[in-house]
Order: sequence, then structure tokens, then C-alpha cells
Amino acid sequence: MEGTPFERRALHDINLDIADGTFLALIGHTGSGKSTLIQHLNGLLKPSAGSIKMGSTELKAGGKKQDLKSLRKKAGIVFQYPEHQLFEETVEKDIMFGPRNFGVSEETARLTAAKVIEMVGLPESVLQKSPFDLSGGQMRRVAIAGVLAMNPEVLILDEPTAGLDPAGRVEIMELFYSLHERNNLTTILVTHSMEDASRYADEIAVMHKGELYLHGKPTDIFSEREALQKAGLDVPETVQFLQKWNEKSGLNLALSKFTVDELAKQVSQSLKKRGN
Amino acid sequence: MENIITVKDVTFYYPGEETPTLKGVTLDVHKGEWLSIVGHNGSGKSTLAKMLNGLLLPNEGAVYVSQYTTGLPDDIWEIRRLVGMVFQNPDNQFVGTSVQDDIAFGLENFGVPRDEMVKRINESIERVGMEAFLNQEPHQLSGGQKQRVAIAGILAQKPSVIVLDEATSMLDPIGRIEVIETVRELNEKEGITVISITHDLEEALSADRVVVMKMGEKAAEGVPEDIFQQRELLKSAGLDLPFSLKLSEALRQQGVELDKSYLTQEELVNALWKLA
Repeated sequence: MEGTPFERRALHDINLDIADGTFLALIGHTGSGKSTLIQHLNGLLKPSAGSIKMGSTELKAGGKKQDLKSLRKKAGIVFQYPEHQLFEETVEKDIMFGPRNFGVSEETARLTAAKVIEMVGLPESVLQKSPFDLSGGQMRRVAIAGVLAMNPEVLILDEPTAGLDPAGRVEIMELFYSLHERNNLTTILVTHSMEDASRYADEIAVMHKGELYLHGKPTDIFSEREALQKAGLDVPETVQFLQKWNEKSGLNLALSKFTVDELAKQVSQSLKKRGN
Repeated sequence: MENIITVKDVTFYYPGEETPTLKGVTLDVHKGEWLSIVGHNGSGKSTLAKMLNGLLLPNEGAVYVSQYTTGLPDDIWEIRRLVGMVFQNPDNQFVGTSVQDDIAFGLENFGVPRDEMVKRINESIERVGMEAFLNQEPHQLSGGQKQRVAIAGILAQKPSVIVLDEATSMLDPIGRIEVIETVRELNEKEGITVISITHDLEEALSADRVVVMKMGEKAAEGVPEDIFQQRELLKSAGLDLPFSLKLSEALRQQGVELDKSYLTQEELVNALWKLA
């Protein structure tokens, strides 16, 4: 809201390059600017200064509307509680809505719907059902299928597991990770969960007070515990535990992966060494 | 042990549904305890929470709070005063235009005289550590701060029980700690009974007792040390294992001879140190 008393700079001087095929986790506490940033990535908001470039499409401050549209086609956003946006009478129609809007023929859109419903792990028979007769988890999958139907080059996930129970959370995250792996789909995950970031991301970007505060590989980011705590965050539990073990044992172990199994391996090896 | 709430053989159907959301649930809540209720999405745990202060009434069975019964219209207002609820979304429960108006709202509804009202507002805002924000508007507060104001609004009614219905699930890690610490202090210092509906297993671990809900039925009830050893039960209820338990298991698989699974990182580090 430029030029009004409500004007507030939500993002400041962000420079971030994301390479093709990356899985990036975007972390920050509430109000850190991460949602504002992703809204720029698909042209829901236009920068007041600077530019966003995605592939060959560039959106500049004061740029043309046409650029917005092509940016939106390239970046698919899965919003929080995406199932709230379902509206059509059948799952198939709901999934076809996006492609049809961008001028895809009915026949092609139908084929696409059949393809993406399989990608999200639902049977084809779901296509003729009303989305409102499905369970919450299934509805979320249908909404995700709707985003995939646009064939995005970049998939942006805004806290996609909010409100799910632990089992549902793992299921949905594994779905996104396999989409990323199989199709080399560039993925940006907005999350509060250091655990998810440590498990899935190649790179982590930490937002704090509207600025890009830290950016790097998980191993680099997690070695900055104090800086993370200043931004209201912490390292994942695996790293917390290893720090405690290092303090107790006087060792200087480090993790290359942040899974519980990797941690168990490191700790048990250090015990065996001491035993010898 | 004195019971503050008794749920007796409660069965509940949402209108138009053929399968009950709650099936013959019986549960005692002890005065002054911290009781965590966990379960998968759709397990009936939030429905159970709404039974506790008469937001929903059972089709069969009864819910007693102190000497009152939720099904009796004459009792319902006293029950609502005794049992305060904090809901999931901090933005959906802020009714006033400032922090003090918000707390005053509930008191006005109960016809508390002005002098007494001012006294209670000041007192309850202090108990949640938000006295510096008395005249702030809601949009200037973080999610965690809004939830603390909601708790102050409840405290002003002099309740016996606070029910947290996934009250921290939309907050970032700092907001979550803020709210839990506030409630913990009320529980420990003032003996207010806490019932927390949660997906946060680490929070459930520090509860006095845990109830596991599954498909509308009470699947288990007990102290966390017992409940969290029951791997299959947790899995079938859509829940994950807490971090330290998972790590204990992984270490055993690596051949580390732990005598049991540990619930906290500190206990596990100490047990490992003894093996070194």
C-alpha cells in the first residue's frame, strides 16, 4: 500500500539465485517475509524495486501485465490448506479448470487430469467424484493435482503439511520429494519445520525481518546455531543431540545427512572406537 | 484423586452422519493435571474437546464438570466459565479492537461490574506476561501473543480448566514455546487443569497423562513413559515416535546395548555415556 499510512517495507534487497532442479527450503518465523517473497515468485505481487527472473521470463518493478501471466504459468503454488480452494462438482473438472483457463483444449485437459491424479497417488475412479465427498487428505492431494496440471517448472509449497497429523505429514512430504526426484522439478518449500528442511532440502534460505539472513547448504546453515536462534529458529533435533553428545564425550563429530539413522551410526561408531 | 471432569459413555453423531464421531468414550480428568489428547486427523479428539464445555452435547452418555452437567441448560454458563477453550487459529478468536477490550468482552458477557473488571483485566494480563501490550491492536501482535491474550481472557473468568485445541499448531517454534510455557506456569503454580489436544509429541511427552484417540474411540490412556513405548499403537493411531525413542531404537539396531528406550535427549546422552 504505497503512499498510504499503511506502507511498510515487507522485503528488503533480496538477492537469491535458485538453480534448476534445486530443492530449496525457505525458513523464517511468522512475519519474516517468506510468504511475501513467494508471492513475488509467481507474480501475485510485483516488486516495488528490483526484478524477478524465472527462466527466460523477467518481471521488473513497473513491468507489463503480460509478464505476470507467463510467470504464473511457470510457477505453481500450493497454498496453505489448498483443499479450501476446491470448488467444481467433480474432481476431474476441478483439475481441468486451470489448464482450460490457459487455453488448453478440453481433450488435452482431460488427459492431463488422468495423468496428474496418478502422480498424487489417487486412483482414476476419484476423478468422477465430488471433491467434497473425499477425506481431508485426499482433498489436499486433489488440490495439489490441480497445481501439477499446469505443468509448472517450479513448484512452490507454502507450509503444505499444516494441520495434518504426523503420518499424513510424512505422506505428503514424501509425495513432493518423489515428484522432485522423478521429474527434476525445482521445488521451494516454505516451512517452520527444521526437520523437514533438513530431510529434504539441498539448500536452505533463512528469512529474518524481511531480509535474506542466511543461505547455503544444510551443513553450513546448521553450523550457525547461534545465528539461527537469533532469528527465532533452531537446528534440527539430530544436530541438537549430536552437540550434546560432543559436549559429553569431548568428540567433534559432524553429520553429513540429518536422519536419525545417520546420527545413530555416528554415535555407535564413536562408542566402538572408545571401547577399543 | 479428585476428578474435575468426567466423560461417561459418550457417543456423538454430527447431524446427517451415519457413523458416530465419538463411540462410547469414557474418561476422567484429574484436578490439577496436564492431560494431552493425541490422535490422527478425524480421530475425534477435537470433537471430544468441544464436549468438555458443552459446545457440543452427547447423543448418548454425559459429561460432568465439577458438580455440573453439560446437557443441563441451567448448568451450561457455569461450565463455560469453568472450562475455557483456546482454539487453533489465533485470528479467529480475537474480538476486541485492543488487548484490554478483548479481555473485557468475556467479562461483560458475564456481567462483571466495571471496578472488578479493571482489576481482573490487569491481573490476568500480567499472568500471561502481556501487560506491556494492554492498548495494542490485534494486528500488531504475533500469533503466540494473540494466543496468550486469548488465555488472559479465559483467566479473567477464573476458570478451573483450560482446554488447548491444537492451540499451538499454527504458530512458529518461538510462539509455540511462548504459549506452552505460559500455560505450564498456570498449571504448576496455580493448579489450573490443562487439557491439550495436540499433534506435538514432544509436548505430549511432558504431560502427566496421555489419552490416545483412534477412530472415535479411546485407544489408550496412561503416563507418557508407558504410552510412548507402544510403538504399534502409536503407528496405528497415525502418530510418530518422539525423537529420543526413535534414536534409542536406531542405536540398538546399530548394536548399542541400551537397556531401554529413553524419552528425553538428556537421559539418552547419559545412558550412552555410561556405556562409553
